[in-house]
Amino acid sequence: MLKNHLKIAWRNIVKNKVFSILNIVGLATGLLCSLLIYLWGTDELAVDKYHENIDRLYSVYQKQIFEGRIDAGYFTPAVLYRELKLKIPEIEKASPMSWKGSKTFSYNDKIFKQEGVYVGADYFDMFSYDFLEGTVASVMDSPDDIAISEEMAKVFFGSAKNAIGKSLSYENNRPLNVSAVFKDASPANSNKSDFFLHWDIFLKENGWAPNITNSGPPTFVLLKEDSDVTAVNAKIKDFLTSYRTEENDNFTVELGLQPFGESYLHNNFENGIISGGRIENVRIFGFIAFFVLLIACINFMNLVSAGSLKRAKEVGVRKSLGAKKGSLISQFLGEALLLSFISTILSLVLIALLLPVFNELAGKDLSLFSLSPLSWLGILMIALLTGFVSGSYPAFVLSSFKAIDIFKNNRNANASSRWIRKGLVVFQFALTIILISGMLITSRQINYIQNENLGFDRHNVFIFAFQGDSTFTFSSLKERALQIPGVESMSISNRGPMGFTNGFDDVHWAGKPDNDPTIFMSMDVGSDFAEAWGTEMLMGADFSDESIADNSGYIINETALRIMGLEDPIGKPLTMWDKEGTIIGVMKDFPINTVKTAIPPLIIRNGEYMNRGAVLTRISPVNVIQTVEALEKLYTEILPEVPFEYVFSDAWYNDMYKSETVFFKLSQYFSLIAVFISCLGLFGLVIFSAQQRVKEIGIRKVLGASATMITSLLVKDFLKLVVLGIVIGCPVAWFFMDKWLTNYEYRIDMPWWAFGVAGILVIAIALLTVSFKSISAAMTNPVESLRTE
Amino acid sequence: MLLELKNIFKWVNSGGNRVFLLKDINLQVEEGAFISIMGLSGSGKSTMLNVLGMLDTFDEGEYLFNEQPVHQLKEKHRSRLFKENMGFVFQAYHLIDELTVYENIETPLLYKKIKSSERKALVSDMLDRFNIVGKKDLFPAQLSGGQQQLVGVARALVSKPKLLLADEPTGNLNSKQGEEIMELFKQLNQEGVTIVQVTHSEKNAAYGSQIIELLDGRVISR
Repeated sequence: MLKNHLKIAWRNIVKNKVFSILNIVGLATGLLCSLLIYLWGTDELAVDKYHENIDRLYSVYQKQIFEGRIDAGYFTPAVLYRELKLKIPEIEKASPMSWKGSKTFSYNDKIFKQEGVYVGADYFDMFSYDFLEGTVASVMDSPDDIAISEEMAKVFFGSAKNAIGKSLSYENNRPLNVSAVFKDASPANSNKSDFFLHWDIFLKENGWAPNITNSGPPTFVLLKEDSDVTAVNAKIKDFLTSYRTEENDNFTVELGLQPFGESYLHNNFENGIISGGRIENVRIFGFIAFFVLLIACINFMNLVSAGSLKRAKEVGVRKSLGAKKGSLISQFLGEALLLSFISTILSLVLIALLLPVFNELAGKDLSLFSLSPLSWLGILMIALLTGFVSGSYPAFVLSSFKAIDIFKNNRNANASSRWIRKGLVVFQFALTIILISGMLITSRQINYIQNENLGFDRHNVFIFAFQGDSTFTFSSLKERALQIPGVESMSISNRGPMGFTNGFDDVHWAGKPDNDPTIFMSMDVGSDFAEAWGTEMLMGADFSDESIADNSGYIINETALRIMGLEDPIGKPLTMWDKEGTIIGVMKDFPINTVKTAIPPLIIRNGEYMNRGAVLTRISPVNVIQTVEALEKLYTEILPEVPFEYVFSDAWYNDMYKSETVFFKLSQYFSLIAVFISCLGLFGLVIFSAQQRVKEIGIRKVLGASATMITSLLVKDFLKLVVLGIVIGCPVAWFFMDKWLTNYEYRIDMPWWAFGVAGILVIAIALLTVSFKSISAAMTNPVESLRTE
Repeated sequence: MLLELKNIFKWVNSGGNRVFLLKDINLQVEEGAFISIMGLSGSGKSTMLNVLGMLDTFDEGEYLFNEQPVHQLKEKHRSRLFKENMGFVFQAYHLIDELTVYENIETPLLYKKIKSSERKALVSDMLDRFNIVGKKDLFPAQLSGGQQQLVGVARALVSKPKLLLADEPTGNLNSKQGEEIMELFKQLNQEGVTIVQVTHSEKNAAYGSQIIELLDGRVISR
């Protein structure tokens, strides 16, 4: 029986080549898209979950609550880990971790910058790393120890073996002992550091850090086995209150624990509550995968059920020979499964070919060969499910035909499935329009972020880190740099202008209301900052060589001015951290940290004599390479032991939106795939419809209809469905895109034309697909179709 | 003379052999004639009717309709000539299942681009004449075979053709229904409609004023 079924299935596939190809290509592209997303998604979901202690690892987050406003994040006091371990018995181990930073290392004549972090001594007891050299027990014994990656060991020492015990110079002023070499972080590790430094160095380098009332880096804890997380959470909630020195009823700080395995995907806080983060991308892609596959399945259902008339005779014969409904259902399901497996294999081949491109795009390291058995099982399940879903409907329709109706050629037997088919086409095109308009709108938004002038001119600016000393100061660098042709202006800032952390409320101005909860950000800059960063002074003046001597000037941004409500701010007194001064200028708002959040009020202080920081250099757009080379020469002359590493501000800026850009690009491809599959289905349906209506077309031609009339008759029928799909899809798309846009402080207005363009595009593509076949149907000689059997 | 076929040949090539479907057909149809074409299955009756109806082409010979050489006309022209002068009745009725009786009869008028008010009048005339006013909103599936063929004839006649072509019009009907249709044809012929019908039945053929018998694509008697 099975053999007979398989034989018939195979012969059908071979006989109806066009439809088999439409079906297989449609399903394979659908599967390609969803399997890729499946691979990507499982990879995202697995990040950080491989640590042995994962069930007991937690990230500590902090909530700062001011009247009604809650700020939350992974920022904690740098010495919190010590106190937690001392005072909370359930906490077995605890370690802070700094943000990733680039540091200079040298060994003999090799000088390189590497990216890494500072961690506490417990770090390697908590998180799982494979050591090639050294042991977990001894890796962070002394502040002079450093653990480096295999790759970094190769860079400096040639191999892991050679590296162990060697002395590596850190920032040109401190010898460190390589105490361990670990295997390069697995792709499932979100922390891709090349080195780990001892926390004591961090505390020494950052003056604010030893004070527990200051917050900065994240802290991780390992709970003792069988401890109750809820109880620990309750204990640490008000943990920091007892350390506060000043009383302020409006201000409370709370701590909380989040399972570490969830921190990578659920990394967003809204009003102090963990909400969303990377998981949203996973979800959106999950939806896309589901919808694309659904569209492909709908195609399949449509094509098969539309073609069922052709198969009806076979069903009739089988039934009259005694076939039961069940055996017919299993036969047709079997055929669908066969097609789905052929498609799956095809899509896997395509994936194997496309993975390198996809990896490049998504920043992943996926490979079909390293898939776990569980993933293969998942793929198998998807293939089975696809075959089952797409085969079930036609199977039930076909098997329920009555033999007698079939032989009497009763056309109405198929009437209900015609309605379902129409409904499916509408649904399919509604999904398509959602994907296309979504794609158009996201591309506008991404484009807006990347190209609009958002308050500063990020083109032709590059940034490099500067660490001067008593002999070589920033001012000496600036003085000489400005002599290089092409360098237009230069300034320094204590952080990259888009790298801020947390704020403070210790600001006073004339007329400040009592208990005003405003949190300010601050940055220290050198003279000519506005010029170098390309922002605009709305009032007053930027720090200049003249005004810089007077150390009491403050510049505020537009938002700060609005909050302070000062009529004529220039010359008004402003006190910050008990330092009295006056406002000398108001700067136009520019985005800080990200374009997603609102611009915070900002106070800019005079920092001309800083000897460390990010140097912002605005250069002329001509001869960029020569200018940069000349600067590099100057830099290495002044600071020969520090590598000159720079980043162009627009590249850096775009890098911040990498995930958005990647997300956009991927969704673009997936939408195109969806359109493609929908059109394949439409094409197949038109062929079938033309076949089914071949008699009607013949009659109409005999009655005097021209080819144009017949074509428009066929096209009109399908166009109605497509237009209905568009009408249904647009409001849904509007709803979701409107929601998505509110994620951005800097955002475009909802571009209504996008729906029009998407609609016209879909109609045009559908029209092309439909008329292609319709015309040939309309041209056929009616004599052929009207011949009486 | 309404139409004239002169030395018509039609063939298909099958495996190197030339198979003749029509062989040297000559036919003259006067206005007001009622011609029956008879012959065995595969003798070329339907092919000849299709050639007459300009639905099919031929390979050699001349076809004059109203003194116009049909074989030299362009497709567009030919289709207009057809629309204006001919009505077709089929053995299997070939009504459009999705349209009502009224709409089926109306369809040829739509393709002739006749105004809505005039269409209404013409269709109503037909419904009256064939006594099917009460059935005008029914679909073909709801009618008996005889009624369906009646609609088929009404549809063929609604545009007032000069020539009615019928391909086994009674082939799917029982004898009583068949007789009714043939009586109708006779009556139409008396009113001036020229008719060419293809039939198997001697009895039906006898309704015509002239009988042409075909065998293997050739006229063997007239």
